[in-house]
Amino acid sequence: MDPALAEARKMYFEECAELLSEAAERLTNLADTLEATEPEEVNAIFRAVHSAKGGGGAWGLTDLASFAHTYEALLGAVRDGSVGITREIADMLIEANDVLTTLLQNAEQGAATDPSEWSGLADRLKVATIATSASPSLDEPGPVPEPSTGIFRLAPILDNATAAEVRTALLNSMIGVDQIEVFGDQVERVTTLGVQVLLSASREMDDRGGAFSLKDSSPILEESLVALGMSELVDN
Amino acid sequence: MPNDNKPRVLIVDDMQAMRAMAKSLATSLGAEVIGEAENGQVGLELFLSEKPDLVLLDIEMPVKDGISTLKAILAEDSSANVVMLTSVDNMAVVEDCIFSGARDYIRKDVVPDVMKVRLQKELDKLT
Repeated sequence: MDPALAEARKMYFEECAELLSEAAERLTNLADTLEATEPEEVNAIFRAVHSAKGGGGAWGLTDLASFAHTYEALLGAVRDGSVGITREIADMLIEANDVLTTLLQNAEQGAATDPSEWSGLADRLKVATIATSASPSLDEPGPVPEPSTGIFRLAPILDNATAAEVRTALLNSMIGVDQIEVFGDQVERVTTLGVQVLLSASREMDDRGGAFSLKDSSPILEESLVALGMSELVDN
Repeated sequence: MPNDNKPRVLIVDDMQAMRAMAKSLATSLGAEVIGEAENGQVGLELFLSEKPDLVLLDIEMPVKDGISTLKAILAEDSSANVVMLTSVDNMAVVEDCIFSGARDYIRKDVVPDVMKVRLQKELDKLT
């Protein structure tokens, strides 16, 4: 390797270790402040993980980049407000930061990390990402908000989730609500999974006598649904 | 471009390691890296003082992010050549940059050889 690139690689490990250490401190604070956390705190954690992910890809650290991607996705959902900062989310983020730090340390030493150390958590992160702040927290049950609308975002699931994870997240979005809004923003292709999600949500709400609506869909998504004979989803 | 025909490049990224990698690649392709900045605010100041031929601009940065830096640069010089450096998965963010006037984008979460090829193409466009 070119000496300058080798130096950049060394720098990546040092810089990321520091960034993740700072992120760990911020996450400890976040676990105390929960929803009162300053947005810039979440931004700073996001940037640390984002940097780890980018460098991971550049230096061929596939597992690290993959896990960081999943961790970053949940942070992105927290950052844009689609996932609330509950106790369980805070704990999960702290756990993810620890795992990413371990992946980084092992990669620096050229050691592999057993997938069992991170794959289970990665699955939980994915489910948490596609569940929404409208989902009741398991440890903080509260009154059903009025109006009781569940929100489900289609975009993240098309790349990241398995059918089982999508079903879980979708059902979580529907707990205690009588109308569901599925956001199709930025979706430029429709997979079988995406169609199943839309149909499941629509039928479930029909069964409940509730309302289904598709929000912010792209022209490509709408054209695809019409072509598949599901124009009623578009018209809702 | 100056008479020696070396493209003058400004690198703006909050990660020192990423700046070092981009600098190494740009230099190996015959460019001169005239400045590095760790955030958009410093990057904007360097752009105004150094007038580089090409700006490699990260998106996720503290103080001033890539999109607002891009807009500020183009407000000062609408012909500025700005290429976004990104490992952003949300393509809407990248599209926002393109629609705002960025010339193109280069993924930085790829191995250096791939990034080098993309960078070469951006440098070729300057000539």
